[in-house]
Amino acid sequence: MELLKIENLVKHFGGVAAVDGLSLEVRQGEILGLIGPNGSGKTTVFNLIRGVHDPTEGHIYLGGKELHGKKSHEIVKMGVASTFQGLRHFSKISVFDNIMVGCHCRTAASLWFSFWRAVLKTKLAQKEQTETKEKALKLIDFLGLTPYREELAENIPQFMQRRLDIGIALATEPSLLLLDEPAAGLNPTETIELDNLINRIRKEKEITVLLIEHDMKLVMGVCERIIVLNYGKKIAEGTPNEIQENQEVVEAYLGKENADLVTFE
Amino acid sequence: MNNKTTYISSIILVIVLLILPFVLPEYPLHLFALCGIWIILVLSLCLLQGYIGELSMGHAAFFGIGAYSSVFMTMFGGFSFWAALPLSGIVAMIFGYLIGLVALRLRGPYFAIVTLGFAEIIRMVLVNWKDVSGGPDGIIGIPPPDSIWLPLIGQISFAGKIASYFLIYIFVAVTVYVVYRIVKSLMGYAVVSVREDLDYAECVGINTTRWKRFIFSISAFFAGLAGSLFAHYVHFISPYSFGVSESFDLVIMIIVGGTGTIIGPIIGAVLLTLLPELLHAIKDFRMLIYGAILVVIIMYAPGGIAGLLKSFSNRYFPNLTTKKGI
Amino acid sequence: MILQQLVNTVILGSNYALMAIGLTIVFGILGIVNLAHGEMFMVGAFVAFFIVAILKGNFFLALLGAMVAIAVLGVILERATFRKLRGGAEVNYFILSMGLLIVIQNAALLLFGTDPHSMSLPAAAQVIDLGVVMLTTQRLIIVATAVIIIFALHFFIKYTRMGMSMRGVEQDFEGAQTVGISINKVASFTFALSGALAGAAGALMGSLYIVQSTMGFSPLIKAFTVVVLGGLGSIMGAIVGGLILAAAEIFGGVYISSGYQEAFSFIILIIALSIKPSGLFGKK
Repeated sequence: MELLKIENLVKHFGGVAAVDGLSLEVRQGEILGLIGPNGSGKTTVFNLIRGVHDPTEGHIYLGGKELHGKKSHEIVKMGVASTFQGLRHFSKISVFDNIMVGCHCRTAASLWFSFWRAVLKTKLAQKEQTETKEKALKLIDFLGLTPYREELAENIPQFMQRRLDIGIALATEPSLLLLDEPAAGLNPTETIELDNLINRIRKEKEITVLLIEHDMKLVMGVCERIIVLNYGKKIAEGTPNEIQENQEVVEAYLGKENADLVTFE
Repeated sequence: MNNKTTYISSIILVIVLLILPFVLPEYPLHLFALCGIWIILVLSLCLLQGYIGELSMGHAAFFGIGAYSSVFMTMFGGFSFWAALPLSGIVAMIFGYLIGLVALRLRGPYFAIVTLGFAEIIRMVLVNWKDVSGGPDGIIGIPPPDSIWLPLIGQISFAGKIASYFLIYIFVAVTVYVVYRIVKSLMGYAVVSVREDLDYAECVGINTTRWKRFIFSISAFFAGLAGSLFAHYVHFISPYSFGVSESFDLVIMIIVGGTGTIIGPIIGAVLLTLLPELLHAIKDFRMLIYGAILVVIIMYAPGGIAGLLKSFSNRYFPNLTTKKGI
Repeated sequence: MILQQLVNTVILGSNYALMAIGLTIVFGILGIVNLAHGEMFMVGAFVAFFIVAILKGNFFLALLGAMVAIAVLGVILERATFRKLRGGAEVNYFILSMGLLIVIQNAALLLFGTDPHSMSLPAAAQVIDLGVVMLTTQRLIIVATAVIIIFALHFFIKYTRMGMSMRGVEQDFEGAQTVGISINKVASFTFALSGALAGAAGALMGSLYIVQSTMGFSPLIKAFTVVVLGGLGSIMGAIVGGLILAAAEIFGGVYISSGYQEAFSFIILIIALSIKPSGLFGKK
């Protein structure tokens, strides 16, 4: 059962095709890896899914509903959350406040309605605020961020900031989570913890995960299926074992990077 | 400032404000009352500047719309002031929403010039539409708010300064309270996210366009409210009270007072209301001094006076962190 | 009648263009919105007036004097104030220039009062009657001067070394430094050019109408409108925008209503920005 379906996706920037006729499916409940050399279009695909760019051609469907052409905040409400390359969150507010921002889109829908309730401090508004706060605290606990709860986001250790980014995405209660190079800058221990976290996200929260990564150990360890991109096209698809044996994939990487990086063991 | 300091200073402030009208002579009291109106106005601009992050060059227009609407409703429409007051706010809010539809899609200088443009158009309409607005001569003889009856106090007439003073400061409190509630409630998170990182907020499910429009509309509402209070307090309005120069004054108040805080603009409003009086002898140099202060502040203390106070307190009380800084 | 209005439009439009170009190059190259530009214009007009009325010089001397004086003023402002804010938020420049506007305007008010002055140029009284169209010699001089200055500027930016440095900085602020371009020199020069243009516009407009300490504000707003309409940073946009705005004011004032004349410029601006938020020739 596919959750996300991409059909013949094309994206041109100026004269260059960053994504050049890509079709793929993300199955419900799986952890799917998206790999490929630098510049192969991986982040562009993410940006197309999350509505940062509109496709030049092609379609993206989430559970049968059209995703392409919609605004980013609508896509989040439809159930797709993502993290960005590097660290991206609200640096000058606390960890707790960051998570609460993430929770916001799941609270009372109508804007004007919530204004009056907030000002008059109605029972309903207070109840929702307490419930949301509890949700946030639980999520912070799930991520192991509780000791940093009141700290400003920019003041906590980097690998915790990475967790925060994932946490904010999780706070929006997605059905599909996109992670853009979550292991970048992490040491081997932290990477193993990340592996565990991703598995827990899939298992305990029943969220499907789509992952861009360069860290092959993580990819081969946590992903059930892998799709390989090069020059904006899909060049291979399969289980970690199948990909490791795929000659085309090895060549795509060898051409640009060190042979060492392509040791999958 | 931590909670204890805030509570204590707030209580002291409230007590001072309560005593003031019975202690001050008439003219200084009048100044304080006017100052209260500027505070409401500046707080409304502060919402805009603080959460949308843009500087409006035409904010005084909403002030004017509120003033004129209130006057029409009371003097020509037979409304009681107490109905006209909130309605004026709503009229200003509607204008704010409409202007926001265009202006909020723009940033920086584009936003500034469009807000200026709208303000100028409104001013020109007021100057030219003599039959309705009284033209450049304005409207005189605006009545004070209708007297009301309160339990325990009896009939209150607003012809006098003391009652007006209290009326104005009650609304200052209302404005501060509403802004505070917005920030403290769940809405506060959306609004802060728009301020901190607009594009990222979009990607976290916040409909930033809608929230910007919301802030802009609320900002216009309070400016309109201030306008209504102003009209029925000074009993005379003309298009020239609501022009670009006045919009600039508001910007000066915010910058000198300090952006990004609630107390900053209040400091700015107080300073710029009281300064002309202190500088009465050198009245002609007043604007020149304002300009010079603005230049000096932006070059050497861009956080304004509030910013200076904050860094001052951070040096001596380094453990006070700002959470969800208002 | 229409021909006359068109001629008036070209005259007014060329003046607006001159003002607007000065404003737009400072933004395009340095990212600075200089609200004090209108006051520089006003000071330029006073310099020109001084040369004509007190020193009894001819108009071209006045024009040159104004351009040089305001170029110097521009450099002084850049070095003393704007330079200190480099690297900070763009809005700080905006606020700084607002402060400078207030200071300069009020200084002028204190020094010169509100009295209007007229340059009383002989060429302003000479009327050229072409039948369908009438203009004074002075107006012809103004258009010609504006056109010459604009062309000179174009050649300067395209063919001189400083012009190329300026374009380099415009395209890539940080990158330009790594290729050895001195940002300080470019910044000073840009302000000098901007000042010269404002001074020229002041002398030209001052000769056409009156010279008064409050004369800077309205042209600033118009220049700002033109710049935003044409797209911040675009010289072509400033020229085209200037003509469009002049047309809107003149034709709107004649055919619709003269009381709302200034409103037309804003209405056009608002419509244009609603359609293309970055201005007609804008980049972003």
